[in-house]
Amino acid sequence: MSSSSSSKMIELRSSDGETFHVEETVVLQSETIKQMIDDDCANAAIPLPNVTSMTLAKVIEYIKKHAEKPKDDDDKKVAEEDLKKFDAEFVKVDQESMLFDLVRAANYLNIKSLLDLTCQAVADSIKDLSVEEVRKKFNIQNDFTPEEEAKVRKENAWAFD
Amino acid sequence: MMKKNDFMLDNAYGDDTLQDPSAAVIMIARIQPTDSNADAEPKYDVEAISEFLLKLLIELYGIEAFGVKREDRFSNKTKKQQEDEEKMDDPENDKKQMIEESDRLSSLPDDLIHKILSFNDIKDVIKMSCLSSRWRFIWTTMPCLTFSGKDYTISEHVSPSAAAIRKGRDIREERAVQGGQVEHCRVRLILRGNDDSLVFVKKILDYAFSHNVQQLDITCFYESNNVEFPLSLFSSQSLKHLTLKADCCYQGRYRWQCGHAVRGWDDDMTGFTLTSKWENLTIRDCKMMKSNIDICHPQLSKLNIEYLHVDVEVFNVVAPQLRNLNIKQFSGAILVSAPDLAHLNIECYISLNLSADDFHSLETVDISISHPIEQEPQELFGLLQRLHSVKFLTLNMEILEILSSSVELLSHQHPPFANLKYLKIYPLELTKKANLAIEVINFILDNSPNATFVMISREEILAENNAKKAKWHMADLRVLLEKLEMARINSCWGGLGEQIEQGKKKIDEADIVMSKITDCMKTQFDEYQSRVNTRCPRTCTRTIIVVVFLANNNQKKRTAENAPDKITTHDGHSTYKLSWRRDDLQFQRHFDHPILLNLHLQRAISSVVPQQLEKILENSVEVLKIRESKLESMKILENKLEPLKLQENQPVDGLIR
Repeated sequence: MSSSSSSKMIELRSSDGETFHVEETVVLQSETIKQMIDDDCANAAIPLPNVTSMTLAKVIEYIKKHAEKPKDDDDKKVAEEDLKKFDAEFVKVDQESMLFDLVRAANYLNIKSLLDLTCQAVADSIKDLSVEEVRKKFNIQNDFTPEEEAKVRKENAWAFD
Repeated sequence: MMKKNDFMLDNAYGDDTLQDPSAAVIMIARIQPTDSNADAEPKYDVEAISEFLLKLLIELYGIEAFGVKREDRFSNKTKKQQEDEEKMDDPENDKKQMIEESDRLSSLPDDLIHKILSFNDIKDVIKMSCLSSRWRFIWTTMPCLTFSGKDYTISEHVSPSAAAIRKGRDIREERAVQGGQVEHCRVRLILRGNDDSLVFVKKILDYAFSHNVQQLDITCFYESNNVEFPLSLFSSQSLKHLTLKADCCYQGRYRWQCGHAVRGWDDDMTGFTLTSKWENLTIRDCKMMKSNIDICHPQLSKLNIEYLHVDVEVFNVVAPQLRNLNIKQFSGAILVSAPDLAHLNIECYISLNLSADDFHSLETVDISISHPIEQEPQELFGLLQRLHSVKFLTLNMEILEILSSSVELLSHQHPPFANLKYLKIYPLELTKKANLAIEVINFILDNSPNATFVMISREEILAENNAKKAKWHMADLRVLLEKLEMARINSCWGGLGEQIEQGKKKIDEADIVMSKITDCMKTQFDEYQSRVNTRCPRTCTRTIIVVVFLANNNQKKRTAENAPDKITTHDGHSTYKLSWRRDDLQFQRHFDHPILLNLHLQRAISSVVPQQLEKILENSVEVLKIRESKLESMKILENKLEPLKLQENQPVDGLIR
């Protein structure tokens, strides 16, 4: 809401040089940036050399949504539901690579809830797949010889039924 | 540049005096290609050097920097594997990097892979070990393992998994010996299913506690089973956080106690005693039936009891180091022996029976009892008496209202609080009417005259809530208004657009009319021209031009003001001009060449009219005024004025067509 936007703005610069202006209260969800602000390093634009503008835009979308405060208890439940839906939609990205970019960005920016969310999403996408399916999905090069692979499978045979 | 360095190094140290690190530096320097010789083939044995470097780095940084790769390297690995791993070690290997770039999952750092895998069951995680060499041992270093009980109900699974865990443990132990303790280890255990899986649970717990697990979260979905926690749980040296969650139904035959615990238990008695090194203990959502519970723990500093239902006389807590005690929705009797307790937080529905040894140094106490009942004032007074050392006290108003109903008891009580610095009273229930006796507050504050007293009345909270709601409504209203305003502006714009469209249409119509008029005029003038041409072919062209100008409305008529006093004829006979002027010949209009539309002749004498005038008159004279003129000898004028009535000494207006 327009009436609540009186807080300080922080400028973030992505690896490809695009700048984003975000309210300080919103951006404090990132422990990394919080530390920078605490250390008084946030007067100029904060460079984020590990995050592309596309990823950063997604991250900002996430933290903005999660910064919204419910008005009262009635609202709280609705807001929680809403947030759950948002999270579920948020990790439905078109490209797998975006999800990994988000994992890395969340890790770098140290946003715990986003890291949990994205890691959970990756974990879920692996969960019910066979080894071959995982290899195919993520383009993992199998560098075992057939004998070696058989050996590894034998060691952990109980996990493969 | 590179050559120079090589040269210097090789000459500065002879081969005999080279120390290992220097050799490594030289070799690294040689391995790195420069811009000029990037494609040059190395002339030395890459395999030997990398083997040497690895040994060196292991010595320098310890085995954990290289993890399990070393194990393979020095044991029974195949030639191919060795090559593969060398590729991985070699940062210059473009092919490998390219593969890693496209393989976004494997290229994540270990800790992120661990994080991702920690959400999945250990069985799924171990499956991943045959993806590639990168994945082979990655699970063995995971700090958080999740065991989801449902997968292990069939007993034959249990032993292989335990074997797998043992294997993991062996690897980890080896690493621990070589490179220090594995820390921050956490096990998440989700228990579902039946008795069959309990053996497995026990094994996992055995594993967890023999491996310095610091945090154990157990979520239990059993209805009526016993989880027999191993003895080692209670003697674990590393466990710092234990959380027991969900419907753990701990029944009579439950054996959680340790025989050798601090308090000896009769065999008939059941219950549990916790003695270990934990600092935090959370017991949540648990039902404990027909059992006495003792938490007897010398190191415990924080205890959370939430939603715990016990069917026992007394819940005993002995914890000399306890600083924080949080009790939430617990009903029953609790005996606390924690002399150093500093922070007490109680949140209950009805009053709980807290008995305790003396608390010497309570800092903050926050008690909220939402529905104290009439029978309890005595107990509540007892509770307050026990908290006598508190400095910051927060109570909900309902407690004091119950006390107010039995003010007569106050006379038998000593004012309990001597150190009170701050007292806060706030209401939970907002609809009730305040019924607070001033004696109760005086009783609490009696011995602490300097205490700050804050009371939040129901009215204040209601007013605040109303204000808040009003604010939200205002905000909503503002949004609505903004929307409305936008809609109105949009519709206005729409209307304006329509009007503009209509205007455009009208303009188009006007254009059509205009062009029609122009056409009409053109045809008229064409007719006119043809008529003129027949009558007076010499004047027609110019006249028509002027009329077209008028019709187009673009060019105003040349006005009389622009006409100069003199006639500027361009044929060089200036003498005539003067004489004409003297005779007051006025030219109202003229063009570069003497083309006249109006010719006023006053007192003109025809004898002096030169050929010039004849020329002028031959051209387009439209209006001819002749006053007081003698024009007998002007043949040309006679010709021109033939159709007109010519009168001497009288103005004659005539139009030459």
